[in-house]
Amino acid sequence: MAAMVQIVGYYGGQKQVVTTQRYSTIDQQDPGLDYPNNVPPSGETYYSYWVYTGAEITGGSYSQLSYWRWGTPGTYKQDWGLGSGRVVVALRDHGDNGIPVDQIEAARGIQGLTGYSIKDPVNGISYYKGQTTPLADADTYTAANPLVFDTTVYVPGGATITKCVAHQLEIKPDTTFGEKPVMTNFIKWREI
Amino acid sequence: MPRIGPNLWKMPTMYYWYREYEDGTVEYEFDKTSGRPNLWGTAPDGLVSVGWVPMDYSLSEKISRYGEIGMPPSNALPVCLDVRGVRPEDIVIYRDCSVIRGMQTTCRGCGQTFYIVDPISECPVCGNAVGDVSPAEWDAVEYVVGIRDVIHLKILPDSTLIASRTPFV
Repeated sequence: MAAMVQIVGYYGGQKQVVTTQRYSTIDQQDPGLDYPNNVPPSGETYYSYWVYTGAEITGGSYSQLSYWRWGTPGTYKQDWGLGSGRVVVALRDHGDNGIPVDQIEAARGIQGLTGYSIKDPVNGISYYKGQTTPLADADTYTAANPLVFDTTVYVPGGATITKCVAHQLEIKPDTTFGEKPVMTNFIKWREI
Repeated sequence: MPRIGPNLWKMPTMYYWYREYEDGTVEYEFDKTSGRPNLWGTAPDGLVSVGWVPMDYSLSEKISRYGEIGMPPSNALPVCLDVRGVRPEDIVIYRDCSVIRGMQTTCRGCGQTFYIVDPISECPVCGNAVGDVSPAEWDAVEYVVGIRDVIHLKILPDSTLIASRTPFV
């Protein structure tokens, strides 16, 4: 017995089935090498646009799906030459760290230059910007220590789209500019 | 294979659950004669044993009629857990499913293709240089059965069995 699941992202606030997702300075799934992330001047921080990643249960037979997790190999900083930059992930003070789909906002920024921090007091994501918990380094979430982003138990006839992980690239003046290699990430869930 | 459409995943069944009652009745995830699937639902009272049974080729063929994907493991044995006296809500049983978005590369020497989590420069089989890396996705399933706060058993895809007193992350 198995459910059918697809990985989804949100662009322009709309759900899209995704395979690869690229950090860039436009609200698109993969603009190729256009709209790159830029290295900021000394003392500043630039950002990619926000990226959302979640899952959708599209059918199949199951009793329940639960405990949705996300993670990385833990080597983004090193493999991408981010210096003191990093890939960050949004957390909540209480409850699930993922963002419910009805709270998702289209990614914003200055196209081609920088996005806004998820926590930007004015332009950040409303669901996260007032939280006291800071953004976390995605490299800390690995197979041995995944980020639990949704603890909802999904049953047949109920909701079918999970909360989403909100993440973005944070670029510092010592970040190395250039095309980066493909990096691994995963989504896990429990199914019976 | 488990990717049944563009970016649409359905995990393969390498093991299927069983549960045995005090009166000797045994229920399986798939009817052994017809292949018809049964849902676990919630754990019922009166169980004495639960666990995972390796898929076999005959049953794999039967369940395919119901849209299920059987993938018999090699060198696998059933994993059975004695749950006599255990409250149904303390029985832990689930498949731990992963979709991994990583990379793939092909060796320029032996032609072997690999899914890779971290970049590699040399083929781990023959030592020749590997070709360009491209994005790739694949899945993995592990099978867990346990008793909350007592024992948790996990079957890895290669049939290795791991035991832990604490829940798996």
